[in-house]
Amino acid sequence: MSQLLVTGILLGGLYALISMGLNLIFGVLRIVNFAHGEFIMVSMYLAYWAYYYYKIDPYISAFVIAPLTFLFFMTVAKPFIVKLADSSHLGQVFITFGIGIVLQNLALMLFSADYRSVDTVYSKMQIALGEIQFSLARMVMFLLSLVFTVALYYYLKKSYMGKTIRATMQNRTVAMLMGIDTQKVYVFTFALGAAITAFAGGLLLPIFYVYPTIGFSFALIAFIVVILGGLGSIPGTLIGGFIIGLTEALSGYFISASMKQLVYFCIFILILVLRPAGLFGQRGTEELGVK
Amino acid sequence: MTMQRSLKREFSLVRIVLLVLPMLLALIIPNAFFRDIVILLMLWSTAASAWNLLGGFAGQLSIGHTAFFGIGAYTSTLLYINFSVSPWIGMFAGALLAALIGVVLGSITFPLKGPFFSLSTLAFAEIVRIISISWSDLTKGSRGIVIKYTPGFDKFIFDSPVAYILIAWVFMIAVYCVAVYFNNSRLGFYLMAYRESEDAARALGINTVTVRLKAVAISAGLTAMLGTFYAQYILFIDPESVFIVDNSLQIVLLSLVGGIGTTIGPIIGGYIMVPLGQFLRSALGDAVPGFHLVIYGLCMLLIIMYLPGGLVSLLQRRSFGGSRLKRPGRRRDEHGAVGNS
Repeated sequence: MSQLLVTGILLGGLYALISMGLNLIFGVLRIVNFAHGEFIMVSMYLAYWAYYYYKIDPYISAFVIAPLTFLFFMTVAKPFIVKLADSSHLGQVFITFGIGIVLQNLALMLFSADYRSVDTVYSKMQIALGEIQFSLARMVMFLLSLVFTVALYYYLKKSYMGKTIRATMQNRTVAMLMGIDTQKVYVFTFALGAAITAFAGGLLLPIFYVYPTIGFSFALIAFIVVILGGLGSIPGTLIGGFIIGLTEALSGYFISASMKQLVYFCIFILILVLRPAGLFGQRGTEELGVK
Repeated sequence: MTMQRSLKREFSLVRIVLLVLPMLLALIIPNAFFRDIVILLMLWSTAASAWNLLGGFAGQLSIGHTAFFGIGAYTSTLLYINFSVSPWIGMFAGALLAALIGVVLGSITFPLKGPFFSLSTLAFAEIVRIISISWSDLTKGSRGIVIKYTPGFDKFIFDSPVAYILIAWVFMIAVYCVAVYFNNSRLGFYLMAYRESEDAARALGINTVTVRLKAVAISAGLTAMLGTFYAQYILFIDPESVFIVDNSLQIVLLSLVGGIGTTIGPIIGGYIMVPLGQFLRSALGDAVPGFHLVIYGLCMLLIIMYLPGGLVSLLQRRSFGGSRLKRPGRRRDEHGAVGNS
């Protein structure tokens, strides 16, 4: 039992980390990003090739890939984000979905559908604490999800940029009237979200195989976690991740492995209906930015 | 605009030619590949049209319509395989079941707006897909169901593609007529009022809950009937072909490309995107796997980003029904009718 709980919580940390970037993009900016899974997939491939060709450890290359992603979105992809922010939500769904299709199939074209993984020293390493066993790589993700939660929370709460991000989230027009360059905020937040996603993707590599369609299941989980925890709430995402991770571990054990998804989709619909702001979201925030 | 003038526009010469042309071409040209494309084109155009009743007119952007499609396919097939009920009857049974489930889902999710409604429909479709895989006593799980090839009218299986072409065409025209009805009837006006502003619609005395549920039921039922047609045409169904999320997205995509909230838009979208997809697959699919979808995705991106009103907005002439949409003073964002302002 305690083994199940630990597995669930570690999995929850992993889910929280891959959802953190989506929380910035979807939760804060209200851009429905269906390419989230493909962002993860691309960064996993980047980390994979870095390991394959240059023998760079995924834990090191993640620190390179994330800033590069950030730069890419701040510069090259900037006009695209501006366009995306101005589209209706259906437009956003399909623009990001289209990008998802393109990225997925580019990966299929370039790297084929083979399952690939890296074989680092620690990827199979198990740590035993009494009777409880867990993998080191998952523990690292769990700890990092805690670090990211705290860092992002204080960043959004205290820093000037964080305050402008929150102001823009609450009311774009008024934020603009207060002299905030909302366009810059949009691009910055999107790039930050994408960078965190890329970082998480790199860290996933020692745990999961990478293949072109891996993103979809991660993206669904991320959407569930973000809405469950509350849009725009960083601690909410962490708790949401834990809930989904525990649900998955427990329902996989008590019901059946194939039903675990069923359980969290039901939770998802329930939370949408009963408390659309999420567990930790401010009540009413779900209406913000919904045109 | 009087009813008569409006109907004249909905059935103008250009549109009639557009609606009849693929059917005639498929009848004339006896090429199996071409005929297959035309049948799929009519099938998906019709599905997009049925989605558009809810997504376009009522502004309820479901991305889970494949659930209804699959429910239709599975209901008629299971009735046929287990109880030898004719798929013609099974089709209506599936439509009823889908409409019922749609109403239940609609009543649960009715407070949700914008992306939240969309995400809830996506989750619903995934739930149905997982059930269809795990309940393998009933659905044979992911192995799928093969329908035995025994031609006969009552079995809804034909040995010539001509019958399928005609049936698909009748479906398309029927759903087009429903869309025309929506565009010109009280129910349609109520839905459009609801789409533009829920508060204003309620203030005017429209029972927004019931009109919305009506739209869900009609849209879900029609989609389920197409599911039956798909099952009888392909003669094989499995969860990965009828419940997969790509179907839902394809349906919405066709409407979006053609012009959401218009009567002819989704059909035009199907005319463009389905042959494009099939052509790219046959031309490039074998050479480099995935390449055709890269091109397809790029085409889709370009159309959506640079032509937000859909292809119909290029043809904003009277004969295409643009005048109604261009009426001044009606607020709509750049993707046509979206969400509740």
